[in-house]
Amino acid sequence: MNDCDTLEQRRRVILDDMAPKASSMFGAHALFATSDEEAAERTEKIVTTSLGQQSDSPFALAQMGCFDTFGAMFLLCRWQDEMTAHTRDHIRQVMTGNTHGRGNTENHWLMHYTAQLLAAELYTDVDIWWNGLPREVFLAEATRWILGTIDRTARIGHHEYDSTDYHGWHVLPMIALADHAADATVRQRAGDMATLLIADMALEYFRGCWSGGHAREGYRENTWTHIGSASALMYLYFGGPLLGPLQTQQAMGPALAARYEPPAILCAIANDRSRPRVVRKTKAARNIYRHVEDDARPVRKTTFTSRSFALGTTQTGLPGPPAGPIDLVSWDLTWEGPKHEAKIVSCHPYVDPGRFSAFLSELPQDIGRSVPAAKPYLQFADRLFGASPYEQMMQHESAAIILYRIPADDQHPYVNLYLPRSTTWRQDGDFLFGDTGQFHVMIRLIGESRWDSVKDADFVNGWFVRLRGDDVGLVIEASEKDAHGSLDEFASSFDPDVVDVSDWTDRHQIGYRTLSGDRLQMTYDGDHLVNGKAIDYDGWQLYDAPEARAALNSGVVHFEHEGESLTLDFGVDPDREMIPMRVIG
Amino acid sequence: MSFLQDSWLVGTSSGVFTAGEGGCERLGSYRFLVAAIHRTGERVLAATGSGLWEVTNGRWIQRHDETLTEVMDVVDEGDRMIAASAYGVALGRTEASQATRWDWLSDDLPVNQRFTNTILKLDDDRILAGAEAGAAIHGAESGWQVTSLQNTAVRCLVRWNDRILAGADNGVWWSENGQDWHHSWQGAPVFGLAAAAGCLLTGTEDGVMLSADAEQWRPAGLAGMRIGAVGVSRTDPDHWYAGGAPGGLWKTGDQGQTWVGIPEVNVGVAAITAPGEES
Repeated sequence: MNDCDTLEQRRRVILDDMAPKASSMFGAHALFATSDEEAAERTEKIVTTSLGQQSDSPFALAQMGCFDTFGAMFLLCRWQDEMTAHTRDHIRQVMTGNTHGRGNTENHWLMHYTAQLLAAELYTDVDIWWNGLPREVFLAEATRWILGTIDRTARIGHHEYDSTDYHGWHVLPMIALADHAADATVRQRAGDMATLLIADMALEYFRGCWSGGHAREGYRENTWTHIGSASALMYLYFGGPLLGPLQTQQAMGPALAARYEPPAILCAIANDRSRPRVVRKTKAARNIYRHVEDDARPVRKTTFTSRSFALGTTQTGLPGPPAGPIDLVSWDLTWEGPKHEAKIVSCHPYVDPGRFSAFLSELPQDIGRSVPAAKPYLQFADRLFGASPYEQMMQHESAAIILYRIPADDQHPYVNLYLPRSTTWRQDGDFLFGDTGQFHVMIRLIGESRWDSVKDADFVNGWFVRLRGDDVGLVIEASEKDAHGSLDEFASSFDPDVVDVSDWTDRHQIGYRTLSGDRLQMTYDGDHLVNGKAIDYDGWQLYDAPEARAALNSGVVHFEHEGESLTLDFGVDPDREMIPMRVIG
Repeated sequence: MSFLQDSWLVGTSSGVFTAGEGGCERLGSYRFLVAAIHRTGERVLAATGSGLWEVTNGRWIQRHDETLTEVMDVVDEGDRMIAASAYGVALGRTEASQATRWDWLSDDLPVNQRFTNTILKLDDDRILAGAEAGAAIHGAESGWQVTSLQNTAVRCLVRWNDRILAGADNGVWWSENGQDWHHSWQGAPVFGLAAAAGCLLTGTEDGVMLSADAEQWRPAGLAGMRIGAVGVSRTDPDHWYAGGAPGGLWKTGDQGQTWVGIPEVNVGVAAITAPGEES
């Protein structure tokens, strides 16, 4: 079961697993794809009991939300000939008659407009749509937004970028449109965008994990090996070990039954560990409503992937406090291993009511309670997710400097550094040296530290090194094990003065000489230098990697690997004004 | 008068309710945030978290497009609508096709000037916008000009006699021209204003406040509750509604001496308009 070489084999394994327990409109694809004898009847029950049913519980208020309408339309478009007439009629009634919510995030709008486009193309005999508009008018609106958001993403990068939790909710709508849209342009562009989104995973894929920074990580899940919808898609498209239920989750069922398949070059890129790779990406800025003077700057990602580990960091582009997205994860070190045992990450557990109302339009006076009332973990002091405006970092290949300057009156004046329990640790003063069994890692702590233990159900389970104080941070570098032999030999590679903290107090500057002899110098709120030369973040391309190249605003992305190549051309007019992005990305 | 014109309308975190002597009932199936309700002789518009809707007894009609969302307030001029939103101020026109397209006026403003909580038409050419950074005036020819009301979030605006009143995070302000502002009452954040003859109401972070002259204010009940919206009857100035956010809908018939909760509306209240009230 764990050694499926082909996409078709993996597809079959998951479908067979999913079909008997299918209970959602997404899982129902497995019923038809496996030719379940009761597929039509079971699907009718699923659809008629879950779609368009309004109950009084708070969660059910979104019963006609975008997940439902999208799930229904994808299911209908794919299997309508095999559904019962009652199922088809129910979906039609709901899609043309009920009130539908558009949601407030990028994936919500994408699902909403995808469902509406597919429905408006299908029900051509309906003159007036559920929202009182002529069908053609709303079809035009949905088409404009979908093509507009594809255009934006191809030019300046994805807003809700590289989200382990939500990436699937971007990929699936693109697949639905590629397979089922009647409009040829929409079909073509959506297919290419599905490929680009899957390439985003491939470039930072590491043996079942998605390494580095993410706009949105699963809440309390960023010490997990497999997280969110992305883990299912990565298993399906890239292979690797099948380890957990997230990889066979019903939510991603439509991908299993889709006609769309990503080009094989992406699977080859994802699995090529033959040489180290540096991937640089630009992603779009997140929309910020208020509490800051300036808009967010573009996001610049760096991910270094070696044979046994991957290190990824982010220039988050945040314009300062209180803008700190609740589920952004800025950096991590990733390797292959069980849950909680193959991640190193740090976080300042920043808390401020303003960080909610910077991104949501509710009253600032209210939102500090209303949002975490439903999700109290968003305020946990032991948090490892949620961006801090007081965190900055730089990276050069397998080394990174992560610095924090936390105001003295901050509610949580410390940084949580997460370390797996199963790694062998050695401490020499401010230096920690780790043997993960596959590679070595050095961490130089900056600031007073204290070891602690953290366990929150099955969400987090490991060591915390709390870095206490206003000005703290760490320098981290990983190295393949065969480069240095034992942990002691690895540790002896570092002179005590390899990290220069002499200017930290006065100039907020840290220097570091890497194992390969490169000199890094980072100034908080200042330059990031490699061998005396500033990293040119302003010159960052959309994609810059050995296997992927794209200039900003070009809309042309070129992939190359082992003699194979692929070019995606989104037909961008660089002078054309982009549609405004009015959602939380 | 139609049913919609003849009823109290209450916008909540879960859709619109009508309120009256016969009780309260949900209006339509929209169950998301309704931040403001604008009523004219012609129609009712609901400013909502997912855009702008024309409220009818039957189907709600979409008046936003793919650029307008998180609408906080709206002014209806018939052939033109002006929307205040988290993304700024926009002008909308409904085309012959029934599509409403929006042109944005504030994309180039800084973040806190862009986020617009409330809007008021000053005259044929100018609009007054209450934003997170303060109040600003937009003229067709002059563009954006900041007013003297700055460095505080302005959350509601209302005309009363020859004055304009603004509810801000530091109390109530008044102005005769929209440009020059004076503190009327310095105190808790103000989220709602309602005006009738001889009666000014505010909904504040700490209950309802009442004034007869926009100069002297006194508490008028529901202390300890954040009041997201207030409304006063056009025909009976003793008859008010107030909405807690959170706290649900309350009414009084004796100028706030006693308040009675209305259990049918037990969600956060963001907007109240009285019968016959035209924003």
